[in-house]
Amino acid sequence: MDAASVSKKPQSLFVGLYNISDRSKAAIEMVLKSGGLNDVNIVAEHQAQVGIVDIDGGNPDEVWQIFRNKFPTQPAIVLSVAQPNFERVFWVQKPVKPELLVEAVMHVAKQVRSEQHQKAVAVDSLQVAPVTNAIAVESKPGVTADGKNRSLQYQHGALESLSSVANTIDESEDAGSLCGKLPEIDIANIKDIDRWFYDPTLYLQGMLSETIRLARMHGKASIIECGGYVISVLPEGAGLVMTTMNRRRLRNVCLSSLGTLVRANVRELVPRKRTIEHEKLSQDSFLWFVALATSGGRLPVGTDLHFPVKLKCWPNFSRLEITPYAMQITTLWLNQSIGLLETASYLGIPQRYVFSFYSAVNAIGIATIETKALADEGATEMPRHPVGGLGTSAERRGFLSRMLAKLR
Amino acid sequence: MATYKIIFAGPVGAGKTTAIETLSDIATVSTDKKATDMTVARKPQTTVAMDYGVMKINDSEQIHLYGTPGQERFDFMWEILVENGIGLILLLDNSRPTAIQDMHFFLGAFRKFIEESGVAIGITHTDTNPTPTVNDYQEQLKVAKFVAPVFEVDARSHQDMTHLVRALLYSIDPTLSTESSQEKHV
Repeated sequence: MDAASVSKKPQSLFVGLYNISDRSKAAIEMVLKSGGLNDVNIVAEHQAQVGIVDIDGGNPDEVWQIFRNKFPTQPAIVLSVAQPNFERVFWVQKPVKPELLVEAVMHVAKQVRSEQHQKAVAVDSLQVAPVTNAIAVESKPGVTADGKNRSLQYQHGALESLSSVANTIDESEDAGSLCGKLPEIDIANIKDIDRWFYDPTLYLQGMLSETIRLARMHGKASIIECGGYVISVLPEGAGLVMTTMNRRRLRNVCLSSLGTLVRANVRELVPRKRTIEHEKLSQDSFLWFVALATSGGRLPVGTDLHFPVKLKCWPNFSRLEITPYAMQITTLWLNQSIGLLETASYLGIPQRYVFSFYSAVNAIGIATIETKALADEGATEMPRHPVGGLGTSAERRGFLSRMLAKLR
Repeated sequence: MATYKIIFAGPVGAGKTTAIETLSDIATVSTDKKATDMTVARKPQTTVAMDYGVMKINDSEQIHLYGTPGQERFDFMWEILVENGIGLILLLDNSRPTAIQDMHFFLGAFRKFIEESGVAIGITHTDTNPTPTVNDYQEQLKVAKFVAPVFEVDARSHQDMTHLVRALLYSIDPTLSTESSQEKHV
């Protein structure tokens, strides 16, 4: 949901969801709509007026600090098992009861709308509900926190605890969702070209790449500390990584710039203190995921959209997130050099899938991009139609396509 | 009905029989017999003729899966089995000290067939034997002037084997797409 695409009703409330899985996000949206809050819209973080933050599943203080560093004054509703000791927030205890979440959103919405009608003042100076600890939203049938009776129009049967609602929604994190939703670049009318690029050095991706490079060069293990979590980079064998983060946490950390993360640094891992507690992952697999999660459909800054790309070899797909059209892009880039925009055009696929894939193969070092000098010498060619199967007949190609469909 | 087949090759114990069982939509036919030579040190049974399975595409189309015996003394079977094949799945056992040499050997033995069709390479037993790495195999493929998918696979994993077969199909024809639509947009 893009706040810009929502009609600009004066009463619309834009809510951001932080540290919450995609499945639970969908459940929350369903609950809020079912609770009659049709003017509440779930939007991207940077567009939100209000935040709903799940602080469980890691270090609660660290999670909260990350949120507050990014959004120092944003009104917030905190979801957690234990009551937090944060200032100026509403707290809904987990397991979350839908009616209490709706109640909390209504409280915050009233606060935000009240502020919108006042002269601009600093949030801290507001006299409304000054608190030192989080206000617990408790069940008071038929009565809201401001004392007014209000019948909340729930669709009975549509309301269940968030966890059971979430269970009805497919949680599978599709690799395609890592590719974001950026629109296509219109070369004839480029505006804000920077939004299609990101600087890996400003994110965990850059720190991780450099740490891996040094680990391989010097054969020493290192620890990356970021956002309260730990990533151990081990040089032994094929090069391994261990982390205290699950995929969801890792994805959130990937999207945060290093400057906003609590404690982002690298130090040497002292051998005697190493404890093998977590699953070991290959460095390439880990870096692939981090690059995809950071990219979100964007390209590393400095990438030329037109210079031809070629792959050195197939990625080890059985151990990697396979983004849409990844195998088709692979076979194209193995057979010939072709630019990124031309790749999307040739295959008839969204550019963000090409950009994400390029970011990932570039991160693990199997992509090459021809320099301008080579391009000027005519090294690039118009895409040749691959000689499919070295002479595959139309009938055979049709059969192979049907077989491919079965293998999905 | 057009008859197409995929050939599974590789040394003894690489997982060819298991891979076919994983992919087949029917109960596989196996010609395993008790091993009598040095093979017995690796596994008690070995394929002496071929394994056979079927992947059903739809009501009227299917693809036959043929597994070759891994022992070299049965290599006369290989030439027979590749006839009318659309591609080769080469499985290599990473626990063998000669894994890289195995790859060169089988690529050489099936070179003509591979040049006419395609090959995808699956490396098994990497969980217990992480080296050589996939990158090592890719470096050796470059030396042999081959370009092929090389994936770590567990022959018991339907997902792993599916990825490998998909990669083989794209190697055979990079322009392939599904009939109904291209991969779903997210």
